[in-house]
Amino acid sequence: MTWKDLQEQWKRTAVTPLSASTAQDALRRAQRLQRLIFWRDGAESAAALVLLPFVIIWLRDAVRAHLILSQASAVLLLGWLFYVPWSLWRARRLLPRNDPGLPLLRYLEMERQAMLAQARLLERAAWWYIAPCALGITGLNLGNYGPTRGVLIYLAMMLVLCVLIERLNKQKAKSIFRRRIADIDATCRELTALEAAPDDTHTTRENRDEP
Amino acid sequence: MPTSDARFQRLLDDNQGRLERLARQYADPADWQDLLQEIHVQLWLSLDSFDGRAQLSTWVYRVALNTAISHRRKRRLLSGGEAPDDLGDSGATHDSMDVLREFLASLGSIDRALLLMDLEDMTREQIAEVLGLSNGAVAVRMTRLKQQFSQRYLEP
Repeated sequence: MTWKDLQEQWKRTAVTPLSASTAQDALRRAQRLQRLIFWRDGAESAAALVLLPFVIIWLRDAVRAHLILSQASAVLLLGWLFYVPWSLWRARRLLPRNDPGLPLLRYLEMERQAMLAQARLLERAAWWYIAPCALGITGLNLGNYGPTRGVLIYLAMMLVLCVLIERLNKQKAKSIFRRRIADIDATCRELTALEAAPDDTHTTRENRDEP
Repeated sequence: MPTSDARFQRLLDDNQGRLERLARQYADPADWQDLLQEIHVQLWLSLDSFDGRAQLSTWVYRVALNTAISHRRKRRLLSGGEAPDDLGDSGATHDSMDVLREFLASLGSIDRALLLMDLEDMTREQIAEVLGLSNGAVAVRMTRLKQQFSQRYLEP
């Protein structure tokens, strides 16, 4: 048995016949994937739009009542409503869909960048996603009702929640994205080592030669 | 069927054998069809970005291989394992094919890709193009892999 025989046998291996609708099926799946991404992207903006009138009303009331802390908190919430969808949109725009038509090493580098960006977003989510909202609501209540027991308890709970979420997210980022990044790094190292490997076989044999 | 769909269907028809054999080597017997579908979707999504600089068949294999390597990584990390790949019933009809599959399963993603492309009769230039390596690096590694296989399975 020679390598050439193996090659011939390999190419004769029976394959499942392709159905006539395979292209249509792939198209349907691709469209479903694109719709899913569209709705996921739109969800943040839709939520911000729903909340926007409430925050504007809070801001208007605070301005009328000359409550500085409430005004500042409403402005913080308003900024947060724009910041979250914008930062998610920007993250996606900075990292467009990885092109699997790229050479492997370049593809892996792009994949690594995307993983790193996702890991960072997740690790810091408590501070850019939850903390501004919690702080804004606490500030509104403090401004409107003063340092009541309920408001202080809410503030303490939010602080604990932020710390807890940050820890959980860091753990999640480490177990999912950081592990994938380590795996990508290992594959890249394998490729780089291949490129650097010395040619100690002194071979000029062609591709289809026997081993 | 619109022209682009017909073109895509033809592309799948022309490459079905290679894509299925690749999917079977990078996924478990239970989910190679999922991987094959994922490859089809990625090909459809990327077809517009094909700039004609490489041969279409080389580009198709590149998309498929990149998708397969990512798929394998995700599955392996999800299962939390460094466990060797499950060979299962991969459609083998010959003993020598089983031996070859066993050898392929024992290799890492890159070596496996190198050997698979050689089995598919791709030239060193095409293999180098898919992996983004030099022809020399491909030649050296290929020789070593074949020697390794030969020592393990072909020699008495």
